[in-house]
Amino acid sequence: MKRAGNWNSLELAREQGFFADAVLGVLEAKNQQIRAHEALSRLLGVSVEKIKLQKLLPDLPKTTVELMKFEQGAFEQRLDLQAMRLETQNLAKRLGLTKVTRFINVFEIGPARVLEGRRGDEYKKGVDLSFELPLFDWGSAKVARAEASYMQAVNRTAQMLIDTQSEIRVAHNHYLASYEIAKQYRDEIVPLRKKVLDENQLRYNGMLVSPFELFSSARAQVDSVNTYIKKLHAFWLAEAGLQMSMIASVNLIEGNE
Amino acid sequence: MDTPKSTKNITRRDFFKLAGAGIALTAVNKVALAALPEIVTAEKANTQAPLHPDNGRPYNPVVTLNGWSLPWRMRNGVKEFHLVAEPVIREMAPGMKAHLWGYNGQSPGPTIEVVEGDRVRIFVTNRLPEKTSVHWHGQRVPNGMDGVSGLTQPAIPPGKTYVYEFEAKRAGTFMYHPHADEMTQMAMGLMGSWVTHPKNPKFMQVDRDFIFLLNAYDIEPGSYTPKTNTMLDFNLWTFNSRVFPGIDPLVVNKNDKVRIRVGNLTMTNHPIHLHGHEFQVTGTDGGWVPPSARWPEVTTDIAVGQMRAIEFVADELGDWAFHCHKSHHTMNAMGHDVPNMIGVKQHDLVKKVGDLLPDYMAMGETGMAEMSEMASMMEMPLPENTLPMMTGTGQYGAIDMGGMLTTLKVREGLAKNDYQDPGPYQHPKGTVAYEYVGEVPAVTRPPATDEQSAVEVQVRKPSGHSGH
Repeated sequence: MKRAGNWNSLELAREQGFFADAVLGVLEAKNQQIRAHEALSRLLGVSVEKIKLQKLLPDLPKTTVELMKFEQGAFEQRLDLQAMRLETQNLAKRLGLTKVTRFINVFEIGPARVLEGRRGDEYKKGVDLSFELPLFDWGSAKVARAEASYMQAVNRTAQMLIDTQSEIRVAHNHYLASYEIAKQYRDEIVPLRKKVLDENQLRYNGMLVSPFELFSSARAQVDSVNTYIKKLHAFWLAEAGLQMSMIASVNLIEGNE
Repeated sequence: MDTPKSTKNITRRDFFKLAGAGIALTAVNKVALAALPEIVTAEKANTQAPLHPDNGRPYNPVVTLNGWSLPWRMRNGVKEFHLVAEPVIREMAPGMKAHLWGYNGQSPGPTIEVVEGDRVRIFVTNRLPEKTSVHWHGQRVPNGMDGVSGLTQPAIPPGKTYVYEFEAKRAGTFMYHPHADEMTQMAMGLMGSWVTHPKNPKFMQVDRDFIFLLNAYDIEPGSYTPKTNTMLDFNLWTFNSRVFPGIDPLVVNKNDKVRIRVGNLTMTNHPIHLHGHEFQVTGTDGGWVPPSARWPEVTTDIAVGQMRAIEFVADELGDWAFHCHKSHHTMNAMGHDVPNMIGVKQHDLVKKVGDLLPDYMAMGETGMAEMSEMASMMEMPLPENTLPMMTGTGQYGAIDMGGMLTTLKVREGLAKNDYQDPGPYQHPKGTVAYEYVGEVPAVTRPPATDEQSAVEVQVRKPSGHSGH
């Protein structure tokens, strides 16, 4: 354009700016790719050459997992909770507590009551989940110390359960939000950018817009696809995080505790 | 053009027969019928046959380009017309429809024809969503009939009918248009022509008398409704809300004395140019031009709000272009931010962007006409409801125009009332520009002095057979 005399240096510099940015993008993407591959290689203990990766991320699942089902599953499965249960049982044994009078749902210990209606209405139990521990016949004052020790353990368990539940909810919410964001990109933003591009192609056909305007909508469309890929990536990370929260506390897994 | 046999002498009573001609009579109830003239509406955008009077003083009717004349009823010596301001759909050219406001089914409204000295009563019914009024541009009327809402009358509210009554005092060419929310309503297409014929039909008599208005719209490609806040940068420049190739030709018989009356209701001037003939401006907004004050011209500039009547003898056979000489006014909607691509090689680009833009075609390297050729060859899709920027095909190929352009078709042996398009002119042998087939000597140019002029030379070099 400049050589033919149809553009001035300003217009040329502006378009060259886009090209320079695109080159930068390619450099950054390549750098990121190598770093990710090597990190994976270190984690798996397999050399990069032997790792075969799929070309594309799997698409979003059709549906998401419900929180309730997930939470109950987590309480049954989580290793830290299982450990705590065993610890409590051992403690009871050591203290010589043998006569189980009843089981309590540890969730009911805390203020797990919610007021859904007006102030005068009855409180409802906010808990549909359960994590039960036995209670014993405390009998005589001799075992007062044992009772205190045992109830301490029960209360510790209750605290852990609340932490666990909160962690799971955070992980689940993050998972749901990432799902919705990726879905919004896939179902709304990318198709809208495509529509803009298609309409601009029609306008370009009629010489109503310049080729550079057309290229700019093509760039916007590419950007929206790139962002979708990033959001899809974020979703799968969130999904992995949620699965992790089934196993143990995120802090434990990451070695923070 | 529709010229059914039954329209040779159109009368108000004959309008039931005219459904085929694109004119319809709207049924109204008996009470209204007694008090108001029937509402006659036009449903098509083509030129209707002239309306010969069957009562009142005789006159020689005009032909409204892509329009029609409103019939009246005579009541106790008063000519009664009924104008209805309403939303309309106007076909601007085949392939594009505009959502406008107009009168009696079309924009512009019908031409009103009366005779000098006639007592005229016009019922104006407002079917618009906002108030309106009608100003009888150029006429001598009582001040309270001048139609300036707020100043000379209360505006006509939606759903109401107002009555204007005055004597058509001066013969000449006039216009009518709203004077309430005027800018919006005119940008939406509310306007019409008015002719007051001289008392003596022999005075300034011509064989064919055409009339139309210049108007302009800004309709985004892909949409239907004008952007009414556009002030100058319109993208559709129209004769009677039509663009080339949708404007009917002016068909005349050889040696006919022809008058063309043009009123300008756009927001800029238009140098109207006729090929093949010299004409004189015989009438202006203020009346007839004295013969001693006329001079021959081939282009006359019509300023905003002005009317001009030009006259000539059509003594040259052929298809003569008749258009506004602002060259962007003979284009349809175009992109003003499109860079000039002349001389820019783009062929490697098509390959590079192919993955991203499979429909991309390089355009403009040799000029813009390339685009209309491609469009017709490859049927490149455009946004919906959008006319190509340059279009139209004649017997020798692409015409590559749009907007304010039509043709004066001069033929021999046409019947007096024959306004049908006679088709392309059959040129006598040896009278059409032709290709020279002999040897062409090489063009010698001085050697280029610097890089810049080297580019210039390269660009201008005829390169039809090389370097593509």
